[in-house]
Amino acid sequence: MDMFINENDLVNNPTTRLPVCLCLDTSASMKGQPLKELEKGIEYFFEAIKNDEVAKYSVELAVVTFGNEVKVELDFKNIFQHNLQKFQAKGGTFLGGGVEKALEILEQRKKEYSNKGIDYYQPWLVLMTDGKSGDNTQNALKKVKNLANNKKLTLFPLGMGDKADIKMLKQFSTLNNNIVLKVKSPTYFKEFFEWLSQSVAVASQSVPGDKPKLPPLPKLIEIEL
Amino acid sequence: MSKWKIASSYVIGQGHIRKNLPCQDRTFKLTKKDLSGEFYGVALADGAGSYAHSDIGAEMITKKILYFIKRKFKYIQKYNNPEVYILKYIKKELEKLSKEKNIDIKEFSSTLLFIAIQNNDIIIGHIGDGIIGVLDNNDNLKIVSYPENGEYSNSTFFTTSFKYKKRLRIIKAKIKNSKGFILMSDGSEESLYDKQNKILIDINKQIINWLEKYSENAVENALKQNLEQAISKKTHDDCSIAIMRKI
Repeated sequence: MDMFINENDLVNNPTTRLPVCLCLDTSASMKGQPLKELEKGIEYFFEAIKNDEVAKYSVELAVVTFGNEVKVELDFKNIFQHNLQKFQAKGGTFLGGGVEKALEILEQRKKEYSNKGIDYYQPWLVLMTDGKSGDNTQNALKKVKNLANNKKLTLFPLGMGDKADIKMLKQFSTLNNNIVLKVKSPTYFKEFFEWLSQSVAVASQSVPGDKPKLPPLPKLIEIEL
Repeated sequence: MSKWKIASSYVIGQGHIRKNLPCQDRTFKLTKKDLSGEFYGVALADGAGSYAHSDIGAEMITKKILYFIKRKFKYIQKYNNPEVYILKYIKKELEKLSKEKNIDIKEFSSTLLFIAIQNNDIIIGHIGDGIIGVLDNNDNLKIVSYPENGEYSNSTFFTTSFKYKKRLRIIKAKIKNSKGFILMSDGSEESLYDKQNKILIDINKQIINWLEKYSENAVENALKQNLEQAISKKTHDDCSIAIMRKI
């Protein structure tokens, strides 16, 4: 009998990608311990994805920071190609501009996937701030709502500390009941990134008809309704 | 009048084993000979991942659809827009199942792909993702129905996507220059369909042609073995294949 398929006879399609953009507040109020904890959290996040058998080939990360200026710190790449730099905290909180930049690079990445015939999941945007926006957020909000209404974006808002503008973050949230996640202290960032890496791993394995069940939130992360 | 051989198989994916879920892909084949002539049909369905009972829905619909097409073949063949008529039947059967089991109809969601041949007429139907390919008499392999995924990889249409009236694609034709067909679920697509170039790779021809040389049983065993040992290794999803070959 010659009815045998060798693995070499099969096509190697690119892995379905999950683009995730972290949009981070690096305003002056983040200086010192909060920024250090944020960097540690992100480092942990990157390592956790590298150690997940499916997510490491599927998840692609980008980082946008917003302080006095909006900066693409890391553009989308495979996780192993990233070289994470230290962030600088200074100036105001140009959150609206940060979100718009994040949406722009997510859209660009989706176009690149389409041009190369690579399948992809609905993109994720993780928005983290410890304060109030210092620029106009209306345009960014409009774009987020438009994408969310068309099921084209999942936005996770995270308030860091008690001064975070939860009301504004709630408007950006695309989660059920527009919930906002909150960590009281920068020392809990790691717990958030731990949860985020587990969630990303779940989403990167979903198949048609799946509603990925994200892991339960750790106790140190509060939910603001 | 041509005779056809049919073989099909499905296997559970690694992701379903890990999550302790059943295999949600199903296939079914039907051959009948009566006063209307010879009927050959094969159907394949991939149950929706998040629904615990989608395997039941997939199993039910693969059987029911072929018996239905067999009964109504001439009518569907003549009818200008049979999609609505067929969708109505699918909905009725799903509602019946939902009532019988006292389970929400969405729980039985699946994709659906089928081919039915009676004498020299063919009816092809497709809801959602998966691929249907045809092998012509010159050994050229073409895709007759592409996956319908929407923008994202984990989204598609199902038998229960009632608000999408155009989710069923029907092709009716005379068989002139075709000698084989292949149907596959999205799990098998990962190994057998080149997504960048949107083509079915060459190994598909060989798979269809196995039926020229070997018995249906032998080919079904080989399909199962290859699904388990090669094709399912490239995905965590369930995998299924169904083939038809003129003899």
